[in-house]
Amino acid sequence: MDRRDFIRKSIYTGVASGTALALGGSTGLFGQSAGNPGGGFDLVAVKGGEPAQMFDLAIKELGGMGSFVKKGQKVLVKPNIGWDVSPERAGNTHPALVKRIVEHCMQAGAKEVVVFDNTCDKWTSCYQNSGIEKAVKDAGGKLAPGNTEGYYHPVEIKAGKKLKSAKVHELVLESDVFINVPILKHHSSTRLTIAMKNLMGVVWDRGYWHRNDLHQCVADYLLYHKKPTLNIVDAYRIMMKNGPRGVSLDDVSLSKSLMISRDIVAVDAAAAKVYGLEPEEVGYIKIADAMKLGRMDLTQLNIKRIKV
Amino acid sequence: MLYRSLRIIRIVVSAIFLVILCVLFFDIHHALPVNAYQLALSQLIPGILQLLFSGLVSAAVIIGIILLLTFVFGRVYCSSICPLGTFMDVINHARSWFKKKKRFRYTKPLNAFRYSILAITALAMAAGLFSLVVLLDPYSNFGRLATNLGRPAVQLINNQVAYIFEATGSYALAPVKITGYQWFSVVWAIIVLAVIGAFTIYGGRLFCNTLCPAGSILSLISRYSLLRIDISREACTLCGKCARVCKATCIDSKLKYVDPSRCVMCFNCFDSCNENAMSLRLKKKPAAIPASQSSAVKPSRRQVLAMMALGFPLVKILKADNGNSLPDGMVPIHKEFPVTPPGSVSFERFNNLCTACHLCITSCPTQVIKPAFFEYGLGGLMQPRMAYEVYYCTFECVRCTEVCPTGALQPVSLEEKKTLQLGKVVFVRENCIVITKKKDCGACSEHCPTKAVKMVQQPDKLFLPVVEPKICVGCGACEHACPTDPKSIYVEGNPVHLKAEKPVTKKVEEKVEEDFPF
Repeated sequence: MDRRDFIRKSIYTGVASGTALALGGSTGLFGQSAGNPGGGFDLVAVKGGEPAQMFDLAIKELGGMGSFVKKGQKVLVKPNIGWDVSPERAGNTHPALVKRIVEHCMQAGAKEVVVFDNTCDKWTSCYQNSGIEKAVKDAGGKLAPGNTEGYYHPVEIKAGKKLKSAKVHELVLESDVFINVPILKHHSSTRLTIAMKNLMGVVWDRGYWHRNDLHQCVADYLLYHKKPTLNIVDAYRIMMKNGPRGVSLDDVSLSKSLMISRDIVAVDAAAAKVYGLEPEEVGYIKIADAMKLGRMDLTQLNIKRIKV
Repeated sequence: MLYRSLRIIRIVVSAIFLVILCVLFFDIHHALPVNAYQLALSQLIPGILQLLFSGLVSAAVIIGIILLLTFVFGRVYCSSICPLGTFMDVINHARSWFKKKKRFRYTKPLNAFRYSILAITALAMAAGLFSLVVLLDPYSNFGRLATNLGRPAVQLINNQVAYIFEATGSYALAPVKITGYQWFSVVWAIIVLAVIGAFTIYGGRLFCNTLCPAGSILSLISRYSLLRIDISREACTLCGKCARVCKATCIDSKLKYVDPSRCVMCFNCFDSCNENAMSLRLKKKPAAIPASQSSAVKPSRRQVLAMMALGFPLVKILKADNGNSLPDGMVPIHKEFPVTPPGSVSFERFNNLCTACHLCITSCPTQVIKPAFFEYGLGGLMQPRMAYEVYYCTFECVRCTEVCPTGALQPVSLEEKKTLQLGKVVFVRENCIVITKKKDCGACSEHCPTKAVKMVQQPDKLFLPVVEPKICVGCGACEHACPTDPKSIYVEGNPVHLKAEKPVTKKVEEKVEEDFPF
């Protein structure tokens, strides 16, 4: 059985049966606050609550999960599960947040919710010890592996300056809705890893990015049309140093924050400020803003701020 | 009837041991609990190494049981517990599907030859040369066949099934990387398979009664065994059927004699005899004992081997060509010493005790362990090494140290492991992206579990790796992640494993901010 053929066919069928609508929707949405359903906010920021609670409040301001997930759709939720560390170490997205997101998707009538990451440490250990495996299963979602190249399919990024192509996980290609759930962390060379950099976990050859101007590649990838429909930044615990893996609990500070936005650049800019950096100090945020892939100037955005 | 059931029991027990060992070596999803690996301790030669060099009491108990079994019943070990022996029986059986059943004929024992081989093996060990025992140990040979031929096949099948699952929308079965072998070990395994196959087809258990050190040791005991197969002088009609089914070719039907030193107690002869002339009896008279050589030579520590000295330069020659077509300014890297797996204590000790059974390779969850080619020199051919080109050694794992049946890898606790220094990080500035391309990268530092590789901002704003070898554990994460070719960062193996310093950590300041910063 030729697996790739199968996948190709299923993608075409997916496109024919309405994915096109979702694609058309997500490509034109960046920075267009007027077009947003729900409360018309560009960004919702919550502070002072528990992860699940903060997400409940935030998503309500964007019209509920129903404005992103339609009945019968296949949803991809992409947390950061890169490391084999416990939730307290803040190396991976908070499992309680992932769980709540999956639950919201299921309630909105999703056909299935699949979660995966192309992890750095051994994938099975990461899934298990991050607490995300259990969280997803408890919420009725599915976990998929991202450990072999066979899952990744080449796509072209014609307008990319440095990144002209990438091998992207089939779930990105197949799913109708793509929800990006990074955790805000210190990063040793790019300073921060948030939403944009979390997308390195859906591609195979990350070495190419590292070799060819990492900041530019991270920004270039946003030119690929299957972008996240929604970005949810977990800043409940923040790894303030020794990122992105962290060395001990000493690296972690409690912030109890959450930011959500359709605009991946805006959400990264807001998260950078929460960490204590100006957005333009982070190379890829500055580049993505200059390339008009989103907006990092928070003063221009309609932000809803919620304190719990 | 009782005698016929003995054969059935032998087949069942041997099947159980073969299946258990196959499951150990084919556990590609690493689903087995660590205790399951204790079953590999059932093997004689690994047990002897454990006892002699690690003083493991449980190994003494197991060897005691095997020797006692042999003293009472003869070489039942060779027909039931030894996986290579059972594998030979499988070859023999499979042969009968294609060809007429093999008719064996009594052969004279090759005592001078087999005991010389055993003595040379033991003497070589005493002199510090362990290559012969590595070459001949039946369990390790089985392990290498399973790891280098069987396991990749299992991985391939797994992946095909996983893809069928995937096509139906299920991620229940995950594909795995097909790895853990190395081309030389595969070639070697094919040669061994051919040799073992030829021995088996030509002479049944010929290997067991000539080259096998376990077989020779046990034969020294089985010649005095209490129970042995006896042919009734009265009932026997000299039909010779028993000799024709005897894969150890040890039944002289004319003399109505079964050689206990070579008989592997398969009990096939009981089935063949129509006259019920065969029985298991207490020994009547002492069998003729040939001059035997003792295997109990006191072992000494190994001297630096001429062979190793030969091997190291060979690797250099083999790898010397990577300096030819390098981009401007980049330099080839020369590792002085390969990295041995955790628990090996020192290269010398590890090199002595490892029989290259490859169980650590198959049990490693990240598959970072691979059979060596000439990295350790000729004397370390196929012994496991840390292959950072495949993956890195997980900070939270000590699996390989828990499964080693020979004691070449000593148990290490998870806490000890976190400061166990297998090697030290070396940064090659000339090859680094940050230097050659003036762009940020940091893949090495991202992966480092102790931050022995830190990124430090330079005057030009770029972040450049700075290494701190004293807190490096040599896990190879930096080397694995480094995207340049040749690498800009790598681990230089410690010939003797050391203790790394714990990274100094300082609690970040909790800054409780009431307001949003935007």
